Amino acid sequence: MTTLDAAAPGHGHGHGHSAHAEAHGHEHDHHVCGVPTFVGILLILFVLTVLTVGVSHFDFGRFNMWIAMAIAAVKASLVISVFMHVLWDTTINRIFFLSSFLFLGLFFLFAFADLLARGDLVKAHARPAPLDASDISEWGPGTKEHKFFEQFKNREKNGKAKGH
Amino acid sequence: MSHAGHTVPAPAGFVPHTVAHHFESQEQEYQSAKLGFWLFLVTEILLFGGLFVAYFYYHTVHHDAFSIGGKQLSWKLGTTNTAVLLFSSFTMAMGVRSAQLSQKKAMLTYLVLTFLCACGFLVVKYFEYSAKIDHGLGAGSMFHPHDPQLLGYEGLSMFFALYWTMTGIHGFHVLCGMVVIAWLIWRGAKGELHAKHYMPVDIVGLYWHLVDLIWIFLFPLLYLVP
Repeated sequence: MTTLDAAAPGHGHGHGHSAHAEAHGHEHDHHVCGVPTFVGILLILFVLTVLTVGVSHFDFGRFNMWIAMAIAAVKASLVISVFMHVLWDTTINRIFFLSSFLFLGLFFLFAFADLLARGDLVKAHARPAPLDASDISEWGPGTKEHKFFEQFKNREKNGKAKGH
Repeated sequence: MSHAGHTVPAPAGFVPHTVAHHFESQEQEYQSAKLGFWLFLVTEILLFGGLFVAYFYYHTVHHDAFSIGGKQLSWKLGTTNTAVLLFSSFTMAMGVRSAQLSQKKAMLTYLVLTFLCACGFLVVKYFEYSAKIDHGLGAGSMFHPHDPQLLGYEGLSMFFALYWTMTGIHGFHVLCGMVVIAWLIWRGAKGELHAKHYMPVDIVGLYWHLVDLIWIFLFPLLYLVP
């Protein structure tokens, strides 16, 4: 039983398909990834993490989200294809797993079709309602600040009562 | 020799594996387990998928509140935890590889390292969580921000509700991962995991990588709020 040794470390595509393994279909007949591959992927993942943090300190407006998600997607596909061995898995397993992203896509599609069709909802809440609280130094019941907070709460309540 | 009910000879010094009687061959047993586990991972993707849809929905509606919310979290601790989880994914992958090669000592070392990374992740999370509680930034009815600057941002409580739900469910997965990794260490120490039977390591590995995968998206969305 030396099939595994044939599929030994360092050989990126060390499929141990000996006649014996194929005849009996042993577990040891599967792909073994080389150490340099795993180390390389880990380093790329670290670099991409630093990149995500770095990019977040710049303001690209709405593109920040797209950039962050694009980097995350690259990281995710590296983890899926190499760490999770999807590159070397059977077709049926690949179809099953990757189809989940298809259904997730549908979920996003319909949720966002709904949200964007209701443009007023986005507009109405897009602005924050900051209070002028710059002179507040303490906090607790009975203080001037707490009264201010109560006032704000009432304002909110009244707003809702009016059917806002 | 790999037929149902048959015991597959193990490498020297290891415990042989017996194929369950309802499987035709060990390969069938392995592939069934794998397919079943991939299906479970699909349900995991959809579970977190619902939360991600909720996040993006409310991020669109309450963009500014989410931006302020993200600034309340420590991106340094978030980055640390990202690095810890990525490294643990690497050690897990190495553990699976060692099992495939019947390298018992290496496998146990990598599994213990993965377990320790999981502990480290949860310790960092504990400090983050207690800081949030201290600042009144809990979820739902526990959301009473002490910082008056945070008052008046409609949707900020939604950000923290999502923060607690998403990282909470993710943290629970980390905890479950620790239990199954400990189980692997126990079985591995007994010599039951080797080239002729590494399926349990392979499957726990898949689970652990999924936990990492979810975090890869949670980290920028919560800590860096784009």
